[in-house]
This record gives sequence, C-alpha cells and structure tokens, in this order.
Amino acid sequence: MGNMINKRVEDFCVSAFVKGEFAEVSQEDLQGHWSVLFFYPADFTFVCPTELGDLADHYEEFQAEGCEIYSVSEDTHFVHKAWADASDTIRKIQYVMLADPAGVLARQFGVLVEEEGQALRGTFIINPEGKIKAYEIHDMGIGRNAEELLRKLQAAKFVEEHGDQVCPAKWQPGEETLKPSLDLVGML
Amino acid sequence: MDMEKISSVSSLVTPELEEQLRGVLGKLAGEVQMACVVDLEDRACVEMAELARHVVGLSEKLSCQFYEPQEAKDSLPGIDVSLLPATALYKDGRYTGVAFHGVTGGREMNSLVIALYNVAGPGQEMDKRLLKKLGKLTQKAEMKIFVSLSCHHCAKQVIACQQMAAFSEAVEARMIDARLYPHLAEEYKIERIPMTVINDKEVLLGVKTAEEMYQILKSCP
Repeated sequence: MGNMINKRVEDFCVSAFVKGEFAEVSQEDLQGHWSVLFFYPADFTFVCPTELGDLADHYEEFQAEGCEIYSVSEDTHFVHKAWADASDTIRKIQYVMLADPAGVLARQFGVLVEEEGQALRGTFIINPEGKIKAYEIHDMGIGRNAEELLRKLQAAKFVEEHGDQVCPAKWQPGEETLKPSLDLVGML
Repeated sequence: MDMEKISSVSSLVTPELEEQLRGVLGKLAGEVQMACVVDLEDRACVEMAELARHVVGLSEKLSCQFYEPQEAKDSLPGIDVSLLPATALYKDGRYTGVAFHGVTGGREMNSLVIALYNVAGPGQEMDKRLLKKLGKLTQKAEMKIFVSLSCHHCAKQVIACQQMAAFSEAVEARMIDARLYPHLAEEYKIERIPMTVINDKEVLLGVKTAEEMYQILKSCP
C-alpha cells in the first residue's frame, strides 16, 4: 500500500462500544470534526493496556481540540464490553471503541496482519473532511504516546489553519500528578 | 527546612483513600522512618513531601524527616539526591535500599504502601526457601525501575524489586517516574515500561516474579 496522506476514508459501518453502550459508527460520523483512529492488536492481550489508558487520560485534551478518538481492534463489540467489565483501565475509557472483526477498517488502512487476524499499532489523524493528514504504523511491540499524538494533532490543525508555518516539537511541562489509587487485593 | 511550606494534608489523598490507608497501615508491626529529600521550589517535591507527611500521620509506626538536597548529601549516604523528589525508607536507622524518585501518585501508591508493609513487617508472604536464599545474597545489585504513574504493570514490578531490597541487604530498588526525568528517558532509551535497569548494565522489560528476580539478581553482572 502506498502513501495514504490526503487519502479520503472510504465508506464503512461497524459496531462500537462506547460508554457502556453498543452503537454503530460509519464513515459519515467522521465528518465535520478531527478524528483519530487508533488501531491495536487485540483485547485482553498480555501487552500493557497502558496505551489505551494513556489515551483515555488525555481524552479531554483531544476533545478540547475538537477531535474524537476511535480505538479499533479486530474484536467484536461484545469482547470490548467484556474487557471493560474486567479491566479498570478499559472501563474508564470514554472514547469510542470500534469493533472490526471482519477486518474492514484494518484492511482499508493497511494495518491488518491477515495470518494473525490482528491489527498493527496504527494511528491515523483525519481532518474534518475525512482525509488522512498524518499517520504512523508500529510493529506490535512498539508502544505509542498520547502526548505525542496530541502534539501531532495540534500540529496538523495548525498547518491546516495557518499553512506551512513551523510547529516545534517540545516536551509538555506542568503535567499534573495522578491521584493515587490503592488496589492491594491479594498482595497482603 | 521550612515545614510551614509542607502541608500535613495532601490534596492527593481523598477521604476514601485515607480510610483505605488507615486499614493497611494499621497492620504495620514495626517502625519505619522515611527520609524525604525535597527542593521546596519544585512542585513535585512539595507534592511528595505533603503526601509523605499525610501518610505518616496515619500511623504511629511511621515517621518522616525532610531534608534539603545539600543537607541530604552530607547526612544520607547512599541516597541519590540528583533525582528529586527522593524518598527513602529506613529501619532502625539503616537505609533499606527502598527508594522512590518522583511522587508516588497513581498506581505507585500501591508500591509505597507495600514497601512500608514489607519493611515494617509482617511483610508479604514469601517462600521460606527463597527468603533464606535472599538473605545469603552477596552480589550487590542496584535496580532502577522506570515507571509511569498510570501503568498497571509498573507497580507490580516495583513491588517485586523492592521486596528483594526489603529482605536483602545487597539489593537496592529505586522507583523512578520517567516522566519527571526526561534526560534519563533519553539516556536509557525508555520506550516501554516498566523497564528495570540492574547495575546500569542489564535491562529487563515487563513484570517478573520474585523467584525470577532472585535468579536474575544472583547472576547479575
């Protein structure tokens, strides 16, 4: 698959799990606002769900930028719900979790590993017209960073609004410390 | 140290958390002293100092001494004061090898509480054979466990490593919040967490069991 920059997202309609409910999401839902499609290999994997938790922790900042987040895996929406029921990290997610068991989206975005039925860690930033403006695809074990994604979204918006002016990358100072949470079941 | 700048009530401790902490800290068998090295001009340092003050106020078995960096350099040998805030646990005046660099918020509150429980006793249950072997460990091991406060798995690895330190004089285990020290994130090329670096040579990714950690420490360079 060649370069996907400025490629328009094709029609699709998939099931989703969002805030404890089931829903349907189509290509039309991506119109009129910025979107991030965040592919990951599978629910219930041993690999740290920190990526999705990290994204959840920054969700309000993405919303403040007028951006909706859609995580995508090749699981069904029922599996997403089961994962949310079983994991505190997943339960706190407020963004939309798309279900792509037929691989429709993963194929369209070129991240499906056919023989494994899993998606590579692909992230796609899509503008309000439904065009891909930035993307990255990682191998399974290489994690992503929500802060870095947010910076890229801001850069994409900046370029869209202001043309090709410089948008410097920098660390984000002043981040607040997470409130402590105690879960010592089975440890004492 | 100007203690008026360190509130005895931490904004990080909710009433619900305080209740949970009272329950756990009520089980402590012995005394533990915390040494907290802080720069009062730094927000994270003040947060950690207030958290430490709040926590020790919940148990008569706990106490905390606060130090400025230079003061700590002179009187707390073995504590790395280059990474502030730095909090170390002492038992009977001896450094236990258990330390935290950063604020023990998020999931790392679990690490702090379990470390106190292990140092004070009775401590987490451990296979007696392994405990005996740990006591005989002579190979010095200094472990840095790089974490993020939001990581579920990180606290488990910190707890496993600090359990080794609590029960072996040869082992030191320091939790380091990688977010606070970007130069270390760059130096150690941290892409995934938890990442444990032993004696600045061996690198482990993910969570290991106590037995696995012992085997690694036994043969570490």
